[in-house]
Amino acid sequence: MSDPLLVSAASQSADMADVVRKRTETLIVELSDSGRSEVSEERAAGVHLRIRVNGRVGMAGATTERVDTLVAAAIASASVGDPYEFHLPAPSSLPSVVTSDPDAATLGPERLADLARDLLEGVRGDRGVAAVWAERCTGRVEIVNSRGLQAGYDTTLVGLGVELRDARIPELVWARVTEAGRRVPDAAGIAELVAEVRPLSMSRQVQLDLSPPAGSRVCFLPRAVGALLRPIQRALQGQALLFGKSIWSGRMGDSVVDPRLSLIDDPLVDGRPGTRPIDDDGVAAHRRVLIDHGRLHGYLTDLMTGARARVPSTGHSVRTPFGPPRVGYSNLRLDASVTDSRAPASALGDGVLVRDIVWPDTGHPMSGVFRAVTADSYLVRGGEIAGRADRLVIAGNIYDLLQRVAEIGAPTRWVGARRMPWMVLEGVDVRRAS
Amino acid sequence: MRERLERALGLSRATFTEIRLCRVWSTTVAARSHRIELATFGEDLGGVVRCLVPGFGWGCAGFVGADRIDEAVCRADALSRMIPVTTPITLASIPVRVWESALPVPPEAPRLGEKRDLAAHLAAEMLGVDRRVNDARIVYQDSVRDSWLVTSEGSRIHDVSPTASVSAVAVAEEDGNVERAVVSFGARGGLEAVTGNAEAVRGAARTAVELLHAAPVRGGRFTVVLDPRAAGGLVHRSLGHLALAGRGESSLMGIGTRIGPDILSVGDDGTVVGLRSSLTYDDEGTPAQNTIIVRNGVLVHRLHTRETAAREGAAATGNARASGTGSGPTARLTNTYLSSGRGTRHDLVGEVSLGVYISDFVASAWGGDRVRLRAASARMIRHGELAEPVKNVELVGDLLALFGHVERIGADFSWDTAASFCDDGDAGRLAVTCGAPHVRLTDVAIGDQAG
Repeated sequence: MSDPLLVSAASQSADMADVVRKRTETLIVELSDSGRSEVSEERAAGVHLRIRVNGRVGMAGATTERVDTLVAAAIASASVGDPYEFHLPAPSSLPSVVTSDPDAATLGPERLADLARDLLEGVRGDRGVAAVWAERCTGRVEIVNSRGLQAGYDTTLVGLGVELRDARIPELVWARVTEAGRRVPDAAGIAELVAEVRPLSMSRQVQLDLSPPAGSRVCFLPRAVGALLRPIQRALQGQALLFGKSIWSGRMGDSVVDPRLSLIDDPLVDGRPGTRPIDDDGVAAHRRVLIDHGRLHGYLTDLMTGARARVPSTGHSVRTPFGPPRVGYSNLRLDASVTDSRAPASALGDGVLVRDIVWPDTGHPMSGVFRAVTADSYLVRGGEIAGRADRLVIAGNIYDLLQRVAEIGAPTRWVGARRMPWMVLEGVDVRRAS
Repeated sequence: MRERLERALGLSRATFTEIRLCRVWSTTVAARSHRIELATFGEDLGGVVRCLVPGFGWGCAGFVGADRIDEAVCRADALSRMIPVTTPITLASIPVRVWESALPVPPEAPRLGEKRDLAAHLAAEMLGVDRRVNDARIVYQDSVRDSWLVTSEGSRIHDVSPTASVSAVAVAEEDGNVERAVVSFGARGGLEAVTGNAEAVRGAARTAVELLHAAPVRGGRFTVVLDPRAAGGLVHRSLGHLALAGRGESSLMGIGTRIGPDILSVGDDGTVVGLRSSLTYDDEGTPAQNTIIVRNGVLVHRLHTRETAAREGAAATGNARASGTGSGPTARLTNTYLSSGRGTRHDLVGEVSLGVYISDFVASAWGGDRVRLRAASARMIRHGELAEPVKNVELVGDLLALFGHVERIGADFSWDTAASFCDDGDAGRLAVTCGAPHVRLTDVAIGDQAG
């Protein structure tokens, strides 16, 4: 044990300690229709120390590492903390996953500016004011603990984003579409992003002023599905599920959603933003099946939440220098065992097709009630798009609706840290906003 | 430190160079029911350098720790020559200031034991209100922000700003029905600034219990009375945000646009003594000021950084704020207010035969050209009196048309003591304060019918 923080903590009666160090360097190029530009380089670094003294846990964090100050702060924290009975992980072999890309790591401002220019050129339209950004983040995560664990990994992340604001009221954001991965996006990746945003930037698209029929079928495309899953994500976190705060508490093994659906947290898929070989508690990462063919199969937890529930950690700890440790998802994928190969509009037939939503109000996870307003939606008749119909209010109970899935498409690609299929849900309450 | 930063300034060849350095000491104590979940310290030290060269865009470089300042200056200088711009960036002129805060640094001893006791006491107070309150969460947070700003124009500003806040969530449950209520309070200062609020957290617990049996509001169009907290939230989220420059030219919010009736006057005042979001100087060194946004129903000023002010031919208003130690400033709100009118709550409610009384908003969002606000708690107004509680109350309306529905503004102005934050996407999260009296609006869409 040679880490100075661990040595100092041990010399001051800490019976265990662990340290997470993170640093990132982010280069961002921003361009806008208005001709404004900014090139910025951001640096972040931090260390989070957790110790246990007399059975009580204390924590402290800082951006600059002054050993005595940090250890003294953590000991003071432990003096008022609650007792926790848990064990830090011992060294073990870690899975091999791709968390960084050498090409991405050397991406400079000139290439980022080229990516941003290509994107801006592609999304420019007559309806809104576009701002785009291209960013490259490189980083390093290191975890050490008093049981001898010493692990670390490098990260890269390349992100592209488009924000489309209303030409009359710039405060209003019509669309904000982002994509991120460990590797530099190729021309096809940029083209996909442009294809997603371009229709929104053109005013000539017909806006239908028609109310959708009552009890509409609604086809949610992957981004919208991801937003709707928020209550599910909360319901599956250990601090809710294991402590009676989730609608699914005590229902392990029960059928909870359509049997074609499986939900998996996957930190081991190569090259996605949440990919990692180890979590911030030092627990080796592994895939976690949360819902298996419709049945509740698992939950996510970290060391401290697991300790309170007397279950092992699932390897989902996220720690930052200044916040509490929390349970966090890595990469989330919703798999479907039987999928529909038709285009989403064809599978829908008649109804509403929702590409993305704003105002996702997911309420309390116990209820599953959600309300959302569509940002990009279309009325579909006879399997064909009849025209745009934005600002529809959609509402329902996500737990009920996921048991009434009419059609499911095949998940096609990762968008950031999610891979979702499109889904046609029945019984969704759809209204036109007044 | 001042000499250190001045030396670093000398490394830049840019026309304009600005270095901002912040050290933030913070403590957080979180209690959940009978347990202390967290007691932690943080110390954050870092900053950002911005450089500007004529004909190019901004070059910015962040740094962590005081030993990387020189490197960041050189990097920002280099980045400021990267991308030519078609529209030159200029900065509105401001007076050069040299100013030193009177407050001492580093801050007082952390006193974690006292903060733990406060959090545990408030959680117990909430649980003690009713057996149906089965979860009580308290988060105490404080910080001392020690910041330096030096510019190539000669400004040297050293500010020390301590703030503290408590936020509380009460969860009540009965027969599978779960309701929550929240309350928070924040102030400039340390632990003492937020003690003595037990009644406020008990009130939140009572609200959660009351909501268990509240009926959902029947949607429709109503006369609505907003309490000062709700009115302040509405003004911040709608008119306040629309007045922020830097997001392009707004044809709907051009100077001279009529926003509402003559009784409507709105401003943003960073100089109010004692509020969490008050400033002496903003993060570009512009003195804080009181800016009238809407006077007698007409938009008269927008809120600016130096860059947006120069672009619009206006003066900087002291609203350039940065959310973190390593982020650059953008135009943000400070203490946004709706000026007083005449009358009391009793007057505003007493004239309503059927309406909705809204206390505070817990969430707000924009979509299209509409703003949507969800009430924390609400009651029906029947025959001029507050009647039964209702839930699922949402106020939705076109951004600007909504203020055309204002028919009466009370005289009972107060600054909200809640620990409010404004989360503005990439621009980050900043403490803000709202102030308003009671306000009455007619013919407003409420509830499910509102969409």
